[in-house]
Amino acid sequence: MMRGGADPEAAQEIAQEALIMVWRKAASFDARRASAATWIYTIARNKRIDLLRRAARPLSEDDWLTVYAADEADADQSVLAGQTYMRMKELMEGLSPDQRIVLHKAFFEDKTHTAIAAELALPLGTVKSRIRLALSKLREAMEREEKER
Amino acid sequence: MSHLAPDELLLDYATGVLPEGPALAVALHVALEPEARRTVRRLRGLAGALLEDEAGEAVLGDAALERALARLDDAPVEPRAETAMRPGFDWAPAPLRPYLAGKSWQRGFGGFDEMRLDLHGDRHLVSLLRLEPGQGLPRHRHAAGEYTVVLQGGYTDNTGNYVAGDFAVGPDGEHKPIADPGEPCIALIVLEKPIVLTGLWSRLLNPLLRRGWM
Repeated sequence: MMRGGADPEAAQEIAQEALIMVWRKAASFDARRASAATWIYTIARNKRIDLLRRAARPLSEDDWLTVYAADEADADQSVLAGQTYMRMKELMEGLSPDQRIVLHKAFFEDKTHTAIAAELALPLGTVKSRIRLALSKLREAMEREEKER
Repeated sequence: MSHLAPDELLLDYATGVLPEGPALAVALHVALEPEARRTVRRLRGLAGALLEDEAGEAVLGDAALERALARLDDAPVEPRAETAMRPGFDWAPAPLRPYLAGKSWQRGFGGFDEMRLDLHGDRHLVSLLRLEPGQGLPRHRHAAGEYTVVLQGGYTDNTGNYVAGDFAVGPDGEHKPIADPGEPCIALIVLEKPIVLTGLWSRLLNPLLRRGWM
């Protein structure tokens, strides 16, 4: 949160708000669909956006529910829940440093792919292709794992 | 073969950095298209796993934790959120429903129905369009980015055939979408800037368009 541009005080406020939200929304958490860490990441991310940029956002903290409640039959619905931290780390380590840094900036510094390109002084097309390559590697790895189950 | 939103847009959506208009377009695509949903879920799963890695830095100080825990007593536990569906709007996925309150179809100059949606501070133009089967939009090109999500029926232009759930970016050049046979085609359009009509007669309409009259 702090790396995303929040000062320490705001980060504490966000963390508090997120904790309260986790408490209030606990009834909606479904362990078959996502790990607790994923769920909490999503709530904290939405809280941060709500606090730092109150207006311009169509989907409140409930968009997590929208995304996750819509389908029942996806093959991978239990996979992420069972995916361990080590497994995810392995997947990340399978990426090139270039691909990793782009994903890291997206996840933890709340930057758009356009902002990432500007910061790294790279053409937009380069950043797009790094994201696409990284995602296709992750997709492959996850699909392999899904088939093995 | 379905038309998916590009990965970089799904990533921006998953991390919550898109402005409201594009975020709404991707949210509807994700609600209708299982493959896009899987990608967003995987990205958030990855972010969650990496978050555990980052958790070394204590953000919540002892005093703040105390305060947060104290506030928990006052926080009501909410039931699962449900968004009401308006009769006649059964084609609208959940993320769209809050935007439809008090809205109705308006017949535009081009003879097709439009419903303009209000955003909260984002300057993108967001509209729903409804075309009867076989009906086309005037030929036009885009001054800037355009996102289209098909919600019902389908349309065809020089870049392909798009059906419910499909996502289109751009295109760079001119295009003239025509609604497929069957049911009316309903699509959400997100524009960064107004489109420019390029047909001879419809060019006369450009000044109206720029003023937001169409």
